[in-house]
Amino acid sequence: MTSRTAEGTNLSGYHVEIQIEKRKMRSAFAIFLFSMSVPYFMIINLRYIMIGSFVPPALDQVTGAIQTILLVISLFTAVASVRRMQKVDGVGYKRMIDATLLIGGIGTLMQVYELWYHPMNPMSHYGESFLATIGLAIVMGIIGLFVLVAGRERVKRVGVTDEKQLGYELASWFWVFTVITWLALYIELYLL
Amino acid sequence: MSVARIGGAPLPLRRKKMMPPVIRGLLWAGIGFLVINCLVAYVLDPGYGTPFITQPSVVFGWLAALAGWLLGIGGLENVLLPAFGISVPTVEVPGWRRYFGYSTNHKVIGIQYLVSSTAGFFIAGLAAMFMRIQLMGNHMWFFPYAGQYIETVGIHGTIMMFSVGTVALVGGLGNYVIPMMIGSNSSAFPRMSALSVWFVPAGIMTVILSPLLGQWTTGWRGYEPLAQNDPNGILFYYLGVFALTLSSLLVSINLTSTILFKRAKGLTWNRLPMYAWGILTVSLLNIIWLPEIELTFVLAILDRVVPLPFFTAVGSPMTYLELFWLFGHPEVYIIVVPAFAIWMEIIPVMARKPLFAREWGIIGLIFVMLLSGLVWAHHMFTNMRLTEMLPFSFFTEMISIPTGFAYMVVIGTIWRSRFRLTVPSLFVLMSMFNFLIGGMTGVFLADPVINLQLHDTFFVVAHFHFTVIGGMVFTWLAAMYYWLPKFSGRIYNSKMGILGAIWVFIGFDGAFGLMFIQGLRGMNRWVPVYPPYLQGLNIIISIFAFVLGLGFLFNLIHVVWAMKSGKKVQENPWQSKTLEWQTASPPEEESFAAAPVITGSFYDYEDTDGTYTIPTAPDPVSM
Amino acid sequence: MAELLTFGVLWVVFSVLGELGVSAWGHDFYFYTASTQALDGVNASVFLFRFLTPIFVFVVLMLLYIPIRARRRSNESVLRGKGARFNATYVTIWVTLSLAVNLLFFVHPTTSAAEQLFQEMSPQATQNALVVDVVARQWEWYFSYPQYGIKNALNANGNNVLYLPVNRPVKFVLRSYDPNHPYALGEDVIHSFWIPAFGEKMDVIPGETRIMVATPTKIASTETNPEMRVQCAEVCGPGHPYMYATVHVVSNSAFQQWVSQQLKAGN
Repeated sequence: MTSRTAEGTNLSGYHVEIQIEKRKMRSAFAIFLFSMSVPYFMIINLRYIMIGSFVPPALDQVTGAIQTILLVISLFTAVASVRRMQKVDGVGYKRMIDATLLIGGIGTLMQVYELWYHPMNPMSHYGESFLATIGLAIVMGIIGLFVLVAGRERVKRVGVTDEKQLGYELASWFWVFTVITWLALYIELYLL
Repeated sequence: MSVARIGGAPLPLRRKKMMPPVIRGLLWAGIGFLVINCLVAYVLDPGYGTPFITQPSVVFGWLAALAGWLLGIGGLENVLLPAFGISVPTVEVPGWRRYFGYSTNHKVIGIQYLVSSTAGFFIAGLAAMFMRIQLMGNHMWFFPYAGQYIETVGIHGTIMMFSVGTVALVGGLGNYVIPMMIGSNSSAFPRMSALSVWFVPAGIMTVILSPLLGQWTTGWRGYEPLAQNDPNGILFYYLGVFALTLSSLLVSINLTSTILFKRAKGLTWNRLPMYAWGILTVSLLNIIWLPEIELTFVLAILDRVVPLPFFTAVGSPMTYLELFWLFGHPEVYIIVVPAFAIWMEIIPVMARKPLFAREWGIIGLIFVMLLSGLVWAHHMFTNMRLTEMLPFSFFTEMISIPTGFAYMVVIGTIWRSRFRLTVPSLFVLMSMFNFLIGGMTGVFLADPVINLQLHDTFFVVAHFHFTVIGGMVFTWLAAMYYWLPKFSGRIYNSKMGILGAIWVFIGFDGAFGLMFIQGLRGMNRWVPVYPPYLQGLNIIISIFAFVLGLGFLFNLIHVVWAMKSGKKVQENPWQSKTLEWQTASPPEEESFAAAPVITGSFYDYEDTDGTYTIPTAPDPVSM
Repeated sequence: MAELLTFGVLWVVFSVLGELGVSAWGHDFYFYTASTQALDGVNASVFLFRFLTPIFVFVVLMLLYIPIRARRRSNESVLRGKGARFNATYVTIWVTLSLAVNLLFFVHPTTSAAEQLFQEMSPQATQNALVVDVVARQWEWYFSYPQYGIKNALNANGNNVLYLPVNRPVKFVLRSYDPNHPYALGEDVIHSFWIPAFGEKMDVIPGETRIMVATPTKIASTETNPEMRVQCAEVCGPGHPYMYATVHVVSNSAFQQWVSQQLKAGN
């Protein structure tokens, strides 16, 4: 830590504190994401244990593809919101979050539709894997949307400061995480 | 991190009279449960005959109750609303009331964890006493039905494992001591920590209330497909464990970040205290394996509620067993790794000698952590393919090597030292003796051929109680006596402390030592009814068990008494060099008035510094 | 040096005493053994005891003797211990020995005894074995003898009973389902087939068939020794403690007689 603080010798003590604080937040967030990726790893494995690589022909490939495309678009808007935030542009951030919420929300709703109108029997091994996997994606998606809404409301009420900036960014990065994990699940469920 | 504490600052303008947080939490939890439960049971998914409680309604109702509890306890004002940018001025109540509410002070959180854990320990201990009363007879007499006995076993094991074993030394002592040990005034995420502690009472209550939903007879492992056939009580087992493991997960993320980023200046990795190393390794285990078991339990809930066939007889019950023990064996090391670290923390202080071969102690902790993920299937020798046995047997035997490093370090430290035989050091030595027996019997269990006989008998029961009680609970007691002056500025009565140590030692080794023999004579687990030839020894075991139970009660009363009205001592009665003792005892609101700077090793007692004066009179704290 | 010597003498004395104890009682580790498989286990255990005794004595002596020897007297003014912070010899010996002992244990008795057991369970070794089909349900054991046409072995009271001839390998074919409700697949749970006197157990998993092989060596029955009983060892619901059956290991002629009785009774 001493060596790290030494590199910013021109910074005042207060700024060093903020830098350390941000590094702490980022690393804890990374640990959290690492921890959260364990269930995804498990559920992908579980599907192959249960049913191998069988993909039923009755699967609704169109809806799956559309929702995945929507979620990928929302990934880009989420990254754009991070860029806006790094430029300390609260309004731009809010606009990008709105876009992410809209597109990502539709994508998540389509996932709920898939869960509801699953064309395969839940008592089959593919069916149970499908339901559990897409359920995990939906739950994490709803949490991600909730966090985005919180960030949006907070930026409206509190605004952006150097100190608070990272919290907004991490809210967006969590959404990026849910989308990337969904991509893995999509490839596993619909393609392989 | 913004710490919601208003010390000497003027009180905020709006002072709304708030209900006591615990009461409000309970109220909101009740309302949350009723509303969501009724919504699911009567509107969204009415079951046949619209019963008040259905499986889905109780799951969603419980989630709402947990949310209500956490928000009511202070999560609303301190976490949820600030996340939306609404700031609510809150006042942290002074005095004892702060322990019954949301507090961001890591010392308060540590005490909250310790009290919850202790409560869980005595509740589950009471369950154990009931079991031993039943086992004094070879027929049903204390419990009317066998299922009630087996359910008691399950509640005992679940609460002990998830609210005591995983929590006391990590969430409890870790939260209290670790930030001070690394020279910080707060943990990395005090608000998360303040909330995470309240998962523990919720989890314990959930498990205790599980009989309301019906008997579950799977024991603490929730074996499938039996869990699918049992009545609904098993749902509260899953949900209770979910809450408890979530708490431990948050603690681990918090303490890892604390150790990584809150260290004082000069506290390099080479100087990091052993207990911090222990918490770091155990946190990594928690971070990997707790989400694993949580997802497994979510799938098990889906199996019941939807229902899906994952782990049922038509699915793959063996997959559940694998997934459970994948977590289940690291869990054992989640419990004992902090205990190893505490041995290495207390002994150099008592020996007044540098920690011997410190690097090997750290290597031991890390390799135990690494290997613990490779041994899980030794719990499944009786139900796996023969060809799969040997690799797991290999790693199980190998894990004793890094475990042995802890012994090597401690023994090397005591060798030719000036060892103070105090109550904490006595407890550490007892813990090491008991864990040694646990480890040695583990060699027999690691051998598949012997395992086929010993598995699921009282031999295994004795073995894991020797590792968990012997390893962790004895160390917990050692740590409580060791840090007691830190908590309170007071000291225990050494005669009473020694009496307490010998008392639990006799009760423990008597009860569980005889259980080895009982298991070898053919007593299997989970049976309230057994052949008559086993009764005589069971009565003796029960008597020792009651002695043990009273011994724990005695130690509890003694520790509480000492905290309130023990003899006052100097601030650093052990002349320890670790940072937590360089603060006031009990510590101030801010442990360190100024950020400490570390210039040397914490375990170095060879230098001739004048920090500590040699007491002229016989030290009141030594025996 | 004197300290080291005293310690060494104590260690040797107590280890020898321990080894004498192992010789005297080691073979009773299982209390009662009535099959070759149980004897395999006991032999492996005795070997482990032989090696673990000196290790156990060493560590316990360390935990008792050293703290007492190094104890700080109350009149002592020196607060600092002497002793080194590292001793390469001690660490090297400790690490090497613990590695060597564990590797040894893995080779023998773990692998050797396991290979022995696998050999006894192999199809070649069980060609002429007596086959007993064991069905576990909640909460009952059913035994049938396909080689003799006995569909469900019952004693005079109508309870399930297991009869085995002495000194002949028995191949237990273990399955978990309810023969009375074979359509209710979801009702099956995991049981564990255990005869304490035989020194082994095997879990009975729904949907899978497991094999356990045992060669009874003693004529005995549940009445003469209660360790000779079939006991469910894996918790399987509220009836788990009651899930046991009586076992009779009898001579070959008595077994033939019992078989004909069973057939006459239409079991």
